[in-house]
Amino acid sequence: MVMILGLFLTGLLAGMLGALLGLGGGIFLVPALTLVFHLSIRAAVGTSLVGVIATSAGVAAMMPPGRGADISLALRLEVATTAGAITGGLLAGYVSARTLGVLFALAVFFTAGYTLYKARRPSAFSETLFARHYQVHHWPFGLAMSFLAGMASGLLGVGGGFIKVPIMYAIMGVPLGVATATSNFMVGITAAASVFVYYGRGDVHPLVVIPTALGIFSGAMLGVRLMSRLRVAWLRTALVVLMIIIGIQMLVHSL
Amino acid sequence: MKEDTGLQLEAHMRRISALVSFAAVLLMAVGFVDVLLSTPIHEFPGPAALSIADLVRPHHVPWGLWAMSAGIVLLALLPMLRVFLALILFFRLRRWIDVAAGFIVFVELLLSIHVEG
Repeated sequence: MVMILGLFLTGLLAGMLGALLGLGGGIFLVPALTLVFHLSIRAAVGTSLVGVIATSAGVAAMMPPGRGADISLALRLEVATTAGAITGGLLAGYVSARTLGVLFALAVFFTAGYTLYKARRPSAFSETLFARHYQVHHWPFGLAMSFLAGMASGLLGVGGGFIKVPIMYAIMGVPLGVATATSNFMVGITAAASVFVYYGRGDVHPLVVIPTALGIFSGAMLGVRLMSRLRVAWLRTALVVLMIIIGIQMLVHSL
Repeated sequence: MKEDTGLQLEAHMRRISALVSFAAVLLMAVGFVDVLLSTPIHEFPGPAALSIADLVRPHHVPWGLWAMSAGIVLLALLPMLRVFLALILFFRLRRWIDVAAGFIVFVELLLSIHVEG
């Protein structure tokens, strides 16, 4: 019973952070499930992928009208992301995890730095979370990075939101609230591209997945409610801090 | 006019997504409680989810495990359903670039199941 409660609370935290920051929550779940609950990496990834879909579903169910994802942007970027997820799945056996870890850590540090740089500009102070009219810039770079996010998903069993949100926000010019909602829509699709492989292999265990997914679903709905009370600056700070922690974690594990 | 149709379809899409995800959560929760009450849990992670074939033809399968597995599969199918609904939305709005993008993503999802499976 303690284990079930622990999984539920872990899911709750991952879902809440995932909804607030536009991540699927896999980046928190996989380390927690392997290090704290001593699950095998395959079972942890299988659980995490269902969890990523639960975050996406929880956010979609609770998001008020006009604050949802930019579905057009999501689908266009998802063309590259899903292709990346398939490529990542196929390349998994050929590329060393060490090389990938270093590359992703560098990408994460770059986007954290760019986000901080952008926050220092005067226009950043008048920013709103959910601007209605905005122009999307740098499509080729955005598509290339979406492909990389998909590869991360196929290789590591995460949604790739930690790449998608900073790219959409800092480089493509999408408002932060729209970027997080769009990323939440996208991570569900990306995770769906690989979840059935793990399901078919017997790496999805309902007694672990369900308390975690129920926690994530509740946490995601709570996160959406909290989102309307938060300021852009707080969310941006949380995103940068999280990216730095993830980057350091990736680098330490890879070197 | 197009804007109204878009908003109506988006609201419709949100309702369907919410309905499917709540149905999945309900199935998972009911199955989980059933298993907890009927079987003592000795070790984690416990049994794997039922195969799709067992889900479709559930002979001699514990009801709780069936409900949990069905809930997980329903939840896992939700993103595909959302892409399909978006495809209909953009088709109704005649936004052909988005229709093409949605169609490619839908095909990629089917392909990924085939390639990785």
